[in-house]
Amino acid sequence: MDNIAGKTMMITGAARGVGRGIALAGARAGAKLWLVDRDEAALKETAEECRGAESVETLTLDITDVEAVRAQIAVLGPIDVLVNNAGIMQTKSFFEIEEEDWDRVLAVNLKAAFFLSQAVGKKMIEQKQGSIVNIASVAARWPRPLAMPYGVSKSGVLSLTRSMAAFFGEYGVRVNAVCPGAMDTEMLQRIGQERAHLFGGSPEQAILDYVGPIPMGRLGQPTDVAEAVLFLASDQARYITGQSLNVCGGWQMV
Amino acid sequence: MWPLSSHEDLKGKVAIVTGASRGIGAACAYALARRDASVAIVDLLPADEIRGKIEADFPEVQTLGFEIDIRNQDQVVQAVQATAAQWGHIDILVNNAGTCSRLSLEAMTEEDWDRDISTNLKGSFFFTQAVVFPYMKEQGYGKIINISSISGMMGGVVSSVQDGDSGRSGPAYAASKGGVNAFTKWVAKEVGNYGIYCNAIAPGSVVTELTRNMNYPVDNQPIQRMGEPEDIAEAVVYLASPASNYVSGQVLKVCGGLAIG
Repeated sequence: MDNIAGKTMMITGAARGVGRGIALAGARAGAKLWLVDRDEAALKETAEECRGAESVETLTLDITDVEAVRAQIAVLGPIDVLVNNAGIMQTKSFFEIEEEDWDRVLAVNLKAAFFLSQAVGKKMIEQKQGSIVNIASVAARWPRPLAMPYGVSKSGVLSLTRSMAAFFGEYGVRVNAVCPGAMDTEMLQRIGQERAHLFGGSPEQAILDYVGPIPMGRLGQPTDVAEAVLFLASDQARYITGQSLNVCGGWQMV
Repeated sequence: MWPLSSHEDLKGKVAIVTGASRGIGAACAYALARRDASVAIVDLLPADEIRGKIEADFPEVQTLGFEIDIRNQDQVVQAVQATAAQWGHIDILVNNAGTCSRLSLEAMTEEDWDRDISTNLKGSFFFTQAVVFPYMKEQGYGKIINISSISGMMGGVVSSVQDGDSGRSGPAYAASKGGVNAFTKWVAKEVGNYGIYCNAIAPGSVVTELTRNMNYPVDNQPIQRMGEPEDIAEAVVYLASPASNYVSGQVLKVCGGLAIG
């Protein structure tokens, strides 16, 4: 049994990486899942792996398309838990960043989280309950000199978390964030490749140099973040709102 | 009460909870016992009531009681050794015991200062040292959860805001809780490579003996009520269980959004 069982849970960026991990954990906990991603084929694969869920639905959607988000969410039933997970990161030196790089990262990581929360939050206020969990990053409070749009977007996600918690409090809706550290996902592989491209050497070495020592001595797995999401989304965290929790093995303590 | 998560099963685990005869500590002991952990209750006061409640509700769960002063290192070490002797290992430590002098800076005495710092900070150090060496280090696993306070991050509510010459938290209390947060992070770095996790929970105002007859306005916080001891205990369960096995060195505020961010 799990206290997330039977709740309707929407997860963005659910096809792979951390989002897929959250989807699988939600399924094990017996949630009704709405999985959202742009990549329809990968999304279907993840959906098929979601054993234990009360139901699994997929929604192939570009979440940066505000009108499409509004239209799609409006026709859905109640949603108890929204996990704003979809995110992209690009390693690029300061003077190389183009306007479209900036816009794309901010659109996926920040703007989409806002407008999806707006659309789903309307339902939650009508339901007089709900929980939003935003996946930010330790980069929200730590410099990312080679990924400035990413760092800015994640700081923005924390600001959104605080302000939405204050706004939604009186309606019984809680809003919190999880800040993953160095995760063993495709995103980290890409960071390794892009840093190796910038500095030379192997992607593997680039990852080691980038990550450095972690007190708990390993990279994070999607399930680590998923457990934190389930905790914050559940009634166990009924007195927690406006907070962010680093899930990073002690990599960062601010 | 909510159904249990299988990821928080603590069967076979041994927990020590300080200040557990009542209030937040008692709720922590009860919540851990509900997940089948064996629990040692440490308090200055008798533990009979909470032990009786746990054993009545969870007949399979074993408890111990230690009526000690955690400011005394010998007593702390003896309680830890007796717990390990009884159950063979120690997996979870909840440093919860606390006192709160509310005197203003001007009225503060050395006696009150020492009581709060010694109970809230030094007692946490004594217990942490005693459970890590040798028990948690030897088994390569442990979960330490320190109960601090948002006053250790925000400074608390001072006397000038309240009527009279006392605030809702005194200078020693706020300083001790800030110290607990720093101690938490230091310990997390030091013992991480032994497989030991150390985190803190920073409650806001919680309905306990400590806050009885005090005025805590809640109108300006997102969740407009004081916390219940169970609210804190459920966060302790998360940090005590394998569900949080990539979380260390963190301070989680459980405060209804009073201290946001």
